[in-house]
Amino acid sequence: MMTKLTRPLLFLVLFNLLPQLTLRPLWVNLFCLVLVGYRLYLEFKGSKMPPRWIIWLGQITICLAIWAHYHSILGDEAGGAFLTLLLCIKIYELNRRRDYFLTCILCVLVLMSYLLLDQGLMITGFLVADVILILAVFLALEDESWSWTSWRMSLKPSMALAFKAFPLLVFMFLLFPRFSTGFGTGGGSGAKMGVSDTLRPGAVSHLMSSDELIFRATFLNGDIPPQAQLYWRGAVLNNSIGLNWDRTRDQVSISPPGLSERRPDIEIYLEPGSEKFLFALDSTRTIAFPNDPADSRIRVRDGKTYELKESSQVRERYVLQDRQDKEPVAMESDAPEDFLSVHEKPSTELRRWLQSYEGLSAGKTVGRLLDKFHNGGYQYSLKPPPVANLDEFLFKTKVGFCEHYAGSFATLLRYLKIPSRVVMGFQGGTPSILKNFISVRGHDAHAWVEYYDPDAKRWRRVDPTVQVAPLRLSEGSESYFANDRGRVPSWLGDWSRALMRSRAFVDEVEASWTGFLLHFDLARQREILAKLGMEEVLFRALPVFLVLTVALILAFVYFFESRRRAPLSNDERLYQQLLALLVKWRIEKAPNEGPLTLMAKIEAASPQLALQVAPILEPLVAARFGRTPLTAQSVLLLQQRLHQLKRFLRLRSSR
Amino acid sequence: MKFITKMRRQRLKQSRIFILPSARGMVFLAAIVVLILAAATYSNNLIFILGFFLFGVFFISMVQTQFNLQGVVTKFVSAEEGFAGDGLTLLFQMSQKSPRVHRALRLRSLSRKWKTLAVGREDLEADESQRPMRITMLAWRRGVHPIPELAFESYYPLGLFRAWTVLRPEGTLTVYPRPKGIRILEPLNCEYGGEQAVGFGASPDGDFGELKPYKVGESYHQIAWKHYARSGQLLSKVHWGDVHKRYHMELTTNSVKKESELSQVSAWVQQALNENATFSMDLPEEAIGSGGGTEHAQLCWRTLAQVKIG
Repeated sequence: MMTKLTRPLLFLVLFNLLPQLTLRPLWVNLFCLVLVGYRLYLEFKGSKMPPRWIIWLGQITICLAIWAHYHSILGDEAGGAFLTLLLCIKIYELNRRRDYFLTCILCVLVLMSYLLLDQGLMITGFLVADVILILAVFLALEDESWSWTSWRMSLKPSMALAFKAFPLLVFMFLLFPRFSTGFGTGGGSGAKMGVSDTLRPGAVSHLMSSDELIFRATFLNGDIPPQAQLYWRGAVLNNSIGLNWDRTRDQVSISPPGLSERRPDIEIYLEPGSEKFLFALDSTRTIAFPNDPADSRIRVRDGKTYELKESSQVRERYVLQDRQDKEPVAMESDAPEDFLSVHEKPSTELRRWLQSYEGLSAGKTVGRLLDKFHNGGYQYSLKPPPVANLDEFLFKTKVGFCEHYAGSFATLLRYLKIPSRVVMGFQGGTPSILKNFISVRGHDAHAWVEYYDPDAKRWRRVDPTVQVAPLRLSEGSESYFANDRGRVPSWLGDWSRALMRSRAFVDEVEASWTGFLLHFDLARQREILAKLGMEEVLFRALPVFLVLTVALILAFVYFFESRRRAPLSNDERLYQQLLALLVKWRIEKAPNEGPLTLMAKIEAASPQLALQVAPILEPLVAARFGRTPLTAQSVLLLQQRLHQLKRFLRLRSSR
Repeated sequence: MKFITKMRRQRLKQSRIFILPSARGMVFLAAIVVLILAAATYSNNLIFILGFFLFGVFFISMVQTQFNLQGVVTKFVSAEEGFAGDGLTLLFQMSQKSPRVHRALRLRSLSRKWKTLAVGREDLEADESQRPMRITMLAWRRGVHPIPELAFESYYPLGLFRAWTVLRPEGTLTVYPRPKGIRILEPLNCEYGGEQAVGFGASPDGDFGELKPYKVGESYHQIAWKHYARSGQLLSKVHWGDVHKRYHMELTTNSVKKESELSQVSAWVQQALNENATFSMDLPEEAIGSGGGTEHAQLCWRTLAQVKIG
């Protein structure tokens, strides 16, 4: 019996592998596809399964390959890949009902492994479809009469089951306390994207071709500021090696000041994999995790940037609180003399070039250097020719992107004895369709410069890239790059704009969904219960309450299930109506009497009544026991006749 | 009397249905625990959603499994008789009052002695008021036994729960001694059908010779049914040349010591039936007169089934 479920199960496994095409390494995907493909080939060809020792060999190979790639069998990604491969091997051992069941359970665990890596809208949709299909296979396992033609018979009840389970899901989701297992989140697999704490020309360019979401920022106290003000600071680089920059590693761990009484200004949902940086604006006073303000994971780095002590592998939510005194820059704590050294000495040509800037004030020097970039024939490009050093860029190629301009500009300032540093982060972001948040993606990655103004005694921001590509700042990187000929053909302009709009809409929905998923934690639970005025009572007796709730829901389900009846066929329903009518007028059918006996009884009691009943009963008997099923018209006709009979009985009784 | 009738019809009332997670249900529950722990460890609400959803499905399926069994009336109809070591088929009638679909209903033996050879498995559709269900059990040993306890159960819809009720049908199962033995039983005499002088004695079955009035105990196979249909008179066909043997089987000792003795007699009955012979039996506590045919053989076997050893 089980063999007829092999193909549906194999298709379920294949369906289950879909999300991993984007989530797992190529070799895992290839391995899985080969295993499932060969199993399907054997199934359609009707060939024998490979011997057991080959399956064991396959299992050992999988373990070794996972170990070689991840150096572990456990952990989020290694464990997920291991489960997926195990699932693909399991389909070679489908002998009993138990094997089919375990394969379905493995599908559930593989689904879980995807959810560890992604919680977006797409994967949520996939989750719903996958769970319904898994339940359908469970149902088919219990239904011996299952066949491909009756697949709806399994799919419909599985959807009905899902629908019935929904209220329980909602209650449990709201009330189940979000406890911590104390195992931490594993992690350690390294960042997949984001800015780094070194500047090498080419690194940001790689990011700029990425559409991956880095974070979303919601401005809680007003509108989204203009693009030009949105410089999301990640890392401050203080060591100059000509065109390249990096930062000093050892730092004293300082915690940020606590949040003040007033409401935070910006709420940020940071995607996992962005190294340790917690992005903030120039105007940020402090930063905190709203659900746990005392969280000691945040530390303040030089240049008043913020980062986590260890990189996070899960989505994080944090808030920023702005300075109240309207000071635009918040970096006064750093000593300017620490930002003057350059590891490379300037060449003779560069020294000669710099002579014209010597003796000017910091502000004037910056202005003239910017002017030089603007009018000196410099171009902005994401694919600049490779440059070996600063001289080559400044005097020969003159083509680069933000990294080249920021790196060279800050080094030039240091040669001119003006304290300067490079800041790595993101610039701008794409506003959502409802303008309630912005999404910052890989292509918003940016590098700019901060220099110390001794007159004002504070650090100031300067973005040399703007001199070369002003539109990138005013329009935002998305539309800037979308119009770039190198990426999108001109005839695709309208389409790409439409695409951007539709993506903005999807982005809006996705942001709401992931926001909800991330927002709902213990603090939120308490908040909701407090609104209902039940926090104190509930948190003390939550397990009891939870059990009571589940019991209550079960009682409801039990009640409705007990009342559920299969719908009667038309002939049966009309027959029951006729019997009910006759009972009302004291003509009762004994349980052992059939319709013909009933008719004889009526005839004996009243021939007139029999004349009324016969045109109803005869078609019903023919439909029930003969081969003339009732049509829609005949049902209507019989209903009319039943009404006539009712009137007839009423008239008779009134006489 | 009413009470007994009520007892005989094993109406599955709500209070008599037991329900527990099956082995698969326990695995499913373990998977849910893994999901909840992973969700708590990674603070992952989507995994919480998946875990709670499956938990909801688990509970709903529990209610559905119970209702799949509830409302079905099972009535014992009849049981086959057979030899020890053979399969005995029991016939039950399932019926329902309210129109509901009941899927994958199963009937199996709860007794360790009476192993189930073929589990009864039927669906009861909404428009079906009744449907037969058969279960085949291994006749474990000779004797007349009360019908063992049976489990009427359901795992539907997801196989995560087992809802069952214990049936104790009133009735007996008669198990004949298994025909086995090497001792040869000599016939008392040989009667040849028809005229011996005709000289067709060589053929074991012989050719059709004549009709004679039917005597009670003769095999039904011998009855001339066509003639009966025409005239209404019961006549037996006599085959000339057919050797008609008469056997007498006797257990000489005062009490039967071994099962093997009964098996030997059972084998003789089988042999006599095959040879279409007339046979009689003399047991320590009971004697069965001469007769032939299947019914007579069954009477003998039934008697053998009841013999006490000691």
